[in-house]
Amino acid sequence: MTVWTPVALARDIEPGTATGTTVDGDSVALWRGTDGTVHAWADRCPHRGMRLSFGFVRENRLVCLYHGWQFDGAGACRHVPAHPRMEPPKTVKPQQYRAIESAGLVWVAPTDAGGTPDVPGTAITPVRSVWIDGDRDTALSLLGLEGTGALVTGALDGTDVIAGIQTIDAHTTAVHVVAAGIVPADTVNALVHRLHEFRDSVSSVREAVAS
Amino acid sequence: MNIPVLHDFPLDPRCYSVRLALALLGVDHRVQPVDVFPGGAHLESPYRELTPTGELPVFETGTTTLVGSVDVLVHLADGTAWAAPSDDWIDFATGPLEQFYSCREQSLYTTDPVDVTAARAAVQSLDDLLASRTTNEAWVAADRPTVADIALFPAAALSRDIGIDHDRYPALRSWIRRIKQLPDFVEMPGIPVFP
Repeated sequence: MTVWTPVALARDIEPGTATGTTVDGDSVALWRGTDGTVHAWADRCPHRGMRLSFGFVRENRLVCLYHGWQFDGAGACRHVPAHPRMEPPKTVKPQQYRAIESAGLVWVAPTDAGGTPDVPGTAITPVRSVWIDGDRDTALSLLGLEGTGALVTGALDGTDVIAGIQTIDAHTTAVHVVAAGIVPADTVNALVHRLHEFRDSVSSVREAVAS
Repeated sequence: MNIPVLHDFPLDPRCYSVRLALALLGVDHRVQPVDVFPGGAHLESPYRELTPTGELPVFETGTTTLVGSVDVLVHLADGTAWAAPSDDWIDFATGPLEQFYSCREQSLYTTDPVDVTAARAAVQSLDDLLASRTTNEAWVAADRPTVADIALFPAAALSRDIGIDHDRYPALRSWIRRIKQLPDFVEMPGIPVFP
């Protein structure tokens, strides 16, 4: 298991939003403050265990949906609405992960992880994340990509791509795809459709949609 | 002059789509709440006459009576900047979206097991559609918000009611957030205004 896990396209974690993901089988809340900093915490409020990924972001604090407890970027509880004059204890903290952005992806690692993920230094264009019904090998062979680490490279329809591979569980693999270099919108769009086709070719039936 | 009347069940996502449209389009109206659950008022007089199948919402414009969210939404958007350039969204609203809603109703009002396969496919389709848009901001039917977005929004925003989280639908998350930021957006129980 690699230390750093790619969990999303950086573009898809918008400032002022929270969402959830999975790292090494554990639920993780991802959120980005309005200052642009991305954070990853265990997806569990230290108060009552509510999923923090259901919460909402106010300025640079994540607010739990359940009782409105506010946590700042360092994870410190800063406000408890039911006791507005109380100073929250310093020990009340969600479990932290390291979170950084590199190669257009958000990466998460345990706090004791050192260094940064090994990525190519090229400019990138974000394409699309797809969740594929299958393990890592299934996903890679489906996309015609090769590699052993969290990041694999290859060509998709003639475009050089970089893909962050995230194992969600034994049956699901998330693939976060960016194109190497600055590529035109039409190319990105064609890649998006291609990724949908790959995903659907191994998935249960999809409904047709109005386009 | 008669002001239009919306016969409305607050917990129904179809009624909510009309309340949302009325708010976003700034249409003056009066809301008449109907006790659908547990009262079953929509199956009694005077609703027997207004909506023989019991379908809500019902919108009385003053000159005519419209039944069902699609008809009401089309009527409200007609001739405004909110009209959609094509009617494709209506197929989606009367097909996959209805499957989604009946799934949610089964989940909320019965103890029967719920099969969410079709609902999940509908949510994925919507995420795919939005991810395929090449405009700077992705909207369902045009390069701007239209009645199609209003019609499809409640199902997407309520999908957690049947256990479909938004974690795997990044384009959907962005779109939901932008709809909530539209001027005069209104909430419904289960769809808070904050992102």
